[in-house]
Amino acid sequence: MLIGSVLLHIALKLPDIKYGLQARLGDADVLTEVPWNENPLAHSNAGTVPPPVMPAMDRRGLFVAVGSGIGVIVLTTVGQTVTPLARIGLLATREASKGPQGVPVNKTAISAQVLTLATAEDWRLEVTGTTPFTLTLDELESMRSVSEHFPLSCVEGWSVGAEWRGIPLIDLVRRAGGDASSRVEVFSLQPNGYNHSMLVGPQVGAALLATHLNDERINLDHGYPVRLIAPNRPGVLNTKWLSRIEVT
Amino acid sequence: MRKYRIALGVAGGLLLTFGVFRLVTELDAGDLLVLLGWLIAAVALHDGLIAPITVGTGIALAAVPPRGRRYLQSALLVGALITVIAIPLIARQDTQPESKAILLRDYTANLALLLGMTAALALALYALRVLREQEPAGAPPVEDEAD
Repeated sequence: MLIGSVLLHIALKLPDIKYGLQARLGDADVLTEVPWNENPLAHSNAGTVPPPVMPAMDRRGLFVAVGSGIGVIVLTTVGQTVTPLARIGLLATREASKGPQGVPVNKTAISAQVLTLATAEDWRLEVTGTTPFTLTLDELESMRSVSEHFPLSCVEGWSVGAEWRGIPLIDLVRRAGGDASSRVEVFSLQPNGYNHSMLVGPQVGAALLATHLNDERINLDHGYPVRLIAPNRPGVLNTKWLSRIEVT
Repeated sequence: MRKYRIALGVAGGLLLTFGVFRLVTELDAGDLLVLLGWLIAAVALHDGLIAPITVGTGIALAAVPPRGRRYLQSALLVGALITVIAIPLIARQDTQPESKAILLRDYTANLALLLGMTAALALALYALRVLREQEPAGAPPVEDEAD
């Protein structure tokens, strides 16, 4: 619709555009509407007019003023992405550092309807493959864990780096009978929405099942008891509140 | 030129028809009503509020002496841009779950601060100009192009 409207508009205004491009600025001001029939070339024609008198702001001043305004807006909003400028982000929407455990949350545990499921005593992580097994949280945490600094990049336009500690996904994949070339699908407790995601290729080897975030037990809004985190993945695919992992 | 106009017009008309057809066949009535509301609101807001304010400001500005007018114009332009960005933030401030870390600031106070700084800067620049014009006779004339 927009493209169609623009094309139609250009079709109607083509004589004006042609006249405007041909006219010399000293001779004519195309923005001054004078009866079109005084000129065979165009609907708008001012003939020969003296250059406008500008006692106050001229064109350069307008550029400077608008540029300054845009500059102020950029400086006071860019802090939501460029962390060192966060302190002057007077008009910035997001303050990443004020999120729980230093990381903002898009989907809270309440809005994902996982509050009771994620805190249940009988929570288990189910891993399927050629040798399937099930882990309690204690069993999972007794496995080898590593710390990695991964960014969380949300498709809604923000990103923040954080220290994630957890169990390398590849360890569980191997125990289930797979290897680094396996296709892994993880499932969340979340009943609907983005409640599962797929890992293939190098991400299988790089991903963590995070139990800790910035040196604290990962909280409910960040995906307690365990969430997936891997580099080079949109935030929404770092599935939270995991319940099942399928290795194929 | 005639054939270009016809070609552009036909292409535009067809695309527009296609767009409208997709719109009315793929959106349900409720969404269409909301869309209609937004379109009408945009025109009403522009013609009923923004345009009168702009024209009124322009008329009022003509009464300001030329020497100070450009500083006032600049300050108003910068202030308007900042205000347009700040209004939706003020309207939605403190409405989101805390864990999203979003819209937590006091945007009203921040807007006041930025507008105050803009006004102060414009005043300072204007004062500087007045002072330079009052320099004792014999001093080289001041070029004011940089403003």
